[in-house]
Amino acid sequence: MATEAKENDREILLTLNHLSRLDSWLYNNYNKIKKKYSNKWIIIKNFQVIDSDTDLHSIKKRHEGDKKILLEYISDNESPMLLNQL
Amino acid sequence: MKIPLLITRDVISKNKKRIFAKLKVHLSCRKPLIWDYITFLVDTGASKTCISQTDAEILEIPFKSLKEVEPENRPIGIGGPVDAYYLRTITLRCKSDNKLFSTILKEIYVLSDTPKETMSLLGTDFMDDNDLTLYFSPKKDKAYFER
Repeated sequence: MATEAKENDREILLTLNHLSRLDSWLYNNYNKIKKKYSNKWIIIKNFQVIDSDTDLHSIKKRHEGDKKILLEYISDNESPMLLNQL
Repeated sequence: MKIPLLITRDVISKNKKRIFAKLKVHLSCRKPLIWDYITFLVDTGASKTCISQTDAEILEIPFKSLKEVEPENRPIGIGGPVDAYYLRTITLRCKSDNKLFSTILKEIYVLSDTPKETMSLLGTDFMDDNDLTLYFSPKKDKAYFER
């Protein structure tokens, strides 16, 4: 049980490291990507956009099970700010 | 202990840009079953952590199985109160000093009927529960939580 938990933690840490690198790449190239994939879902793998779609379920289905990818929605609109009440 | 944050710049126009601190997190929950990754925007103006509808769809969170937030407790956006649901006993795991930092939030909100571009917010509940201090310096391109 403890070994399994440790293995899970190791896997999560590795994936978090990988996805954080893809996130950094996305935001460093965001304006370029926004121009090309505005209002679409995109899949990033190996530091490139490998797929795009307007439908979330279709793109998710095509890449099901692949843990090395980043799925993002590229919006043309400014993200609205949300306030949270106490 | 430090939890590094990612600084991102959203250039809207020549004279308008927004700078955010974000955190990539592993999210897990037993009921409904969730085991996935999500990016939160760090928001010191949000008292409660919340998951946007877009992220809820990616995570396949079944809204119908969740309890709706009472009208008096609904989160308030720029356009007024937002419909939300309770998600309870959530484990958040993130990177800290090359180790895994893990914490449990008793209750977070899952938002519904929000625009696609709405981001999930990491609220002050996360900072308060874990006794974290936020360091945010866009000029130095550095942001992190520290304890």
